[in-house]
Amino acid sequence: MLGNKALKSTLLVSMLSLASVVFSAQSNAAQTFVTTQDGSPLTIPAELFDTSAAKEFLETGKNIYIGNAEAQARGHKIFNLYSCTQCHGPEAKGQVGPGLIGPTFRYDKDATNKGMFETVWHGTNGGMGAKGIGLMDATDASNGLTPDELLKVISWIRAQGGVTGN
Amino acid sequence: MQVNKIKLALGLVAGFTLAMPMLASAAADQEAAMKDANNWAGPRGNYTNQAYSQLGQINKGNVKNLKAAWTFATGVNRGHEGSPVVVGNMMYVHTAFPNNVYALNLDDNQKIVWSYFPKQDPSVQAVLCCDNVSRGLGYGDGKIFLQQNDGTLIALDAKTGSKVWDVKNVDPKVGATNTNAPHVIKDKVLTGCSGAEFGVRCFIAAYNIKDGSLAWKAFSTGSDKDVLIGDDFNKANPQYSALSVYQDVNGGNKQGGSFAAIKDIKGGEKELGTRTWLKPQAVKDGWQNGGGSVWGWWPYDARTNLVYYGTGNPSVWNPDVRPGDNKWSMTIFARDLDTGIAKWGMQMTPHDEWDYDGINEVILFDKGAKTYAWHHDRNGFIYTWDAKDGTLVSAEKVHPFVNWASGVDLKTGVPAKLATASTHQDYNAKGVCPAALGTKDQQPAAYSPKTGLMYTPLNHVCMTYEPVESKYVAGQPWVGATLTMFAGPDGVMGGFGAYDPMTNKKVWYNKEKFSAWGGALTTASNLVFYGTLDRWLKAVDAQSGKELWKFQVGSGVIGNAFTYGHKGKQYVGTLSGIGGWAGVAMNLGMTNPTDALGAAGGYAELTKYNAAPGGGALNVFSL
Ligand code: HEC
Repeated sequence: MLGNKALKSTLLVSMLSLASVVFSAQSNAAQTFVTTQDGSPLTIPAELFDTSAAKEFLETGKNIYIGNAEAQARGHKIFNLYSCTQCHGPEAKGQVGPGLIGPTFRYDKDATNKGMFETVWHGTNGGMGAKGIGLMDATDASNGLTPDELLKVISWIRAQGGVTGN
Repeated sequence: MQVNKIKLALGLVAGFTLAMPMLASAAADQEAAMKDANNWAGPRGNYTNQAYSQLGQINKGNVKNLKAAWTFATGVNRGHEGSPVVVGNMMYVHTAFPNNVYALNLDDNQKIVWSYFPKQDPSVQAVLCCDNVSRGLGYGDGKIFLQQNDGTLIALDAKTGSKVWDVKNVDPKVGATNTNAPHVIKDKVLTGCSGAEFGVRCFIAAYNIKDGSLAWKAFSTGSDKDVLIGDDFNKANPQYSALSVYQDVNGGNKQGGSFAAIKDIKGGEKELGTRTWLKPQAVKDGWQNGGGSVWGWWPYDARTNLVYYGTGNPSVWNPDVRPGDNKWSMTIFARDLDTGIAKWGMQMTPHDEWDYDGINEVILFDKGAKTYAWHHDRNGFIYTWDAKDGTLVSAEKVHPFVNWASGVDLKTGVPAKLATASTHQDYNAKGVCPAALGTKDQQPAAYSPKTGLMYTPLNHVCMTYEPVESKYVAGQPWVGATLTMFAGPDGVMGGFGAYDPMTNKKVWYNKEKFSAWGGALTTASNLVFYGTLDRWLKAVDAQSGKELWKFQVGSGVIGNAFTYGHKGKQYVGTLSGIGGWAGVAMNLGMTNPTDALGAAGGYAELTKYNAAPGGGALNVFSL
């Protein structure tokens, strides 16, 4: 997940960011993203934000799925689908990886939904690879979470603890 | 040459020359060392896996005077499983990741003679399912063998610690790792493969101890050729080789959401490692990502040249996506050491629905003119087979709380599954006993030829188990179920008991507050030693189970109690350092008061007895 793979992910991201130059003209994204690894700019193709919740997030950094039971249920399924549960536990309270419900986080910015989005999308230096679509699996670009899916996962994680992140 | 040097070093004279003609093998030094009870020359003392020592200086009368002789902090704060190896005046100690090795001189105040620090990519830690443990070292042919978590098997010069050879056994990039101790037998070193929570297709492999070249490799799933199944496999019990024990190839026989055993199963079938995976899953046919990890303790019988081991769960934990019996996961195999060809194999939990890995150790013992293979499985049953041909002699529940099956058919080995414990996707099955970590996990039991009894540590934990849809991504976890664990009906989470291996009926049973996650030791003086997660190393009376001595060490014990003799004095020891599946979350997750130890939530009270992460140390006691 680190080393070679991280390198490949970085390459992929820079390729994606080249591509996104073309699209950035179409959107008036208010949010700029940074990686959790080193705070460098993280460009996510604007066309991946293809639902109203994702568009809202791109504009404002707010996750409108927080408190939405349907979104949480879907988020829980995705959490299982990608076996986040193996590392973070069935209730996101920790297993071989840390608990995710707060109130304190390994990365302080994960108390906000934007921060947690960046952490999961592009991964960390300390043991977790990128989970965003196109970045998760060097052998299959269709693997990984779309922005909308990640917002739903975050809404479920937030529902396990007291932090809303908005 | 080699042999003579060791012989001198050990001061071994009597009995040694007798032993030689039996096995003229590269690891003759190890075989000689095993003959002397002062040594602890293999992961479980000797080839039988009995963990029985002929030393008896520490006895029932004086054990109350046992005192700490010396300790050694390993410098690694994680779960420490297994035990050191002792040969003559040298003790070889391993640690959890990064799997450092220390050679200590017992003649010189346990001074470090050499140490070895593997360089491993830290990302390997993320693909170890259940803590960064190593289960110890192998010794033989003047070498110390270390199986690193990152899949590298390395041979070190036992005198200097310099590398003789190394070989890449598995690739962590696809989620494969190693936690087992290398097992040196004759001219080979055996090692396994972990990764059934990552969809790895696992195997057991034998390397030549001289140069690390591969002698043979037997997969747990796939074609007979890959599984090393020959023509006379299961000759005495062809019914073990049935295409289906619960359902026909069309997937029928499903009753009330469960599986009923087929009455007249047809045996003698071939290619079951592919044909019992009825549906493709992940990116390939089911068996290609089929799991079947191998990481236990493996005994060997020189008279038959057979080595015994168990295979782990089929991937993925969601049973609905892999219809069929999923052979040869969950199987005890007996293989010829020289060729790897399987002589017999019996699947204990066909079409697993609970993650009841079959990896627990086999212990060999003699009774009358026969040798038997004994195995306390994670599924809550204790099995005894005729070691030679695999005929099942006994299969009993270790505790009445086991509720997923009513019993095991002695002829076929097939468990009668109960509909109440069946699991299916998106249905949360409640109150299934035992939990996925089994009535026993990695912690090996011990046997005493003196009492004729088996002594086994126990988990007493139940679970809820919900299979879920899960996508395979190479190198990432692929689990497919969420589960939570809690104490069983006894109101505690563990126990320790003595069982008659011919009937597998209980002789005595002590409750333990937590799962007894440390391996057992028996001695000629009828003492049994084992460690607990609340930090005790205990000595109990082998006949009655009465507690005779205990000492509280620095962190929970998941290591195996062991003994050795030095300059006329008997020592007993154990590694401490909490971790393993039961304690792993303690080592990582405890940054918030709300953290609940994940799946092992029932173990939350461990934090009242242990600082996190668990400090690794070796604790040694003498009179
Ligand atoms: C292979 C194990 C593994 C998997 C699978 C995994 N993670 Fe992680 N995750 C970790 C580890 C280890 C860390 C801590 C990383 C660090 O300290 O840099 C972490 C950190 C995080 C954090 C930051 C926590 C904090 O306190 O700041 C979040 C959020 C997170 N993971 C979410 C997820 C989600 C969502 C998934 C599934 C899509 C997932 N993880 C899958 C191992 C994993």
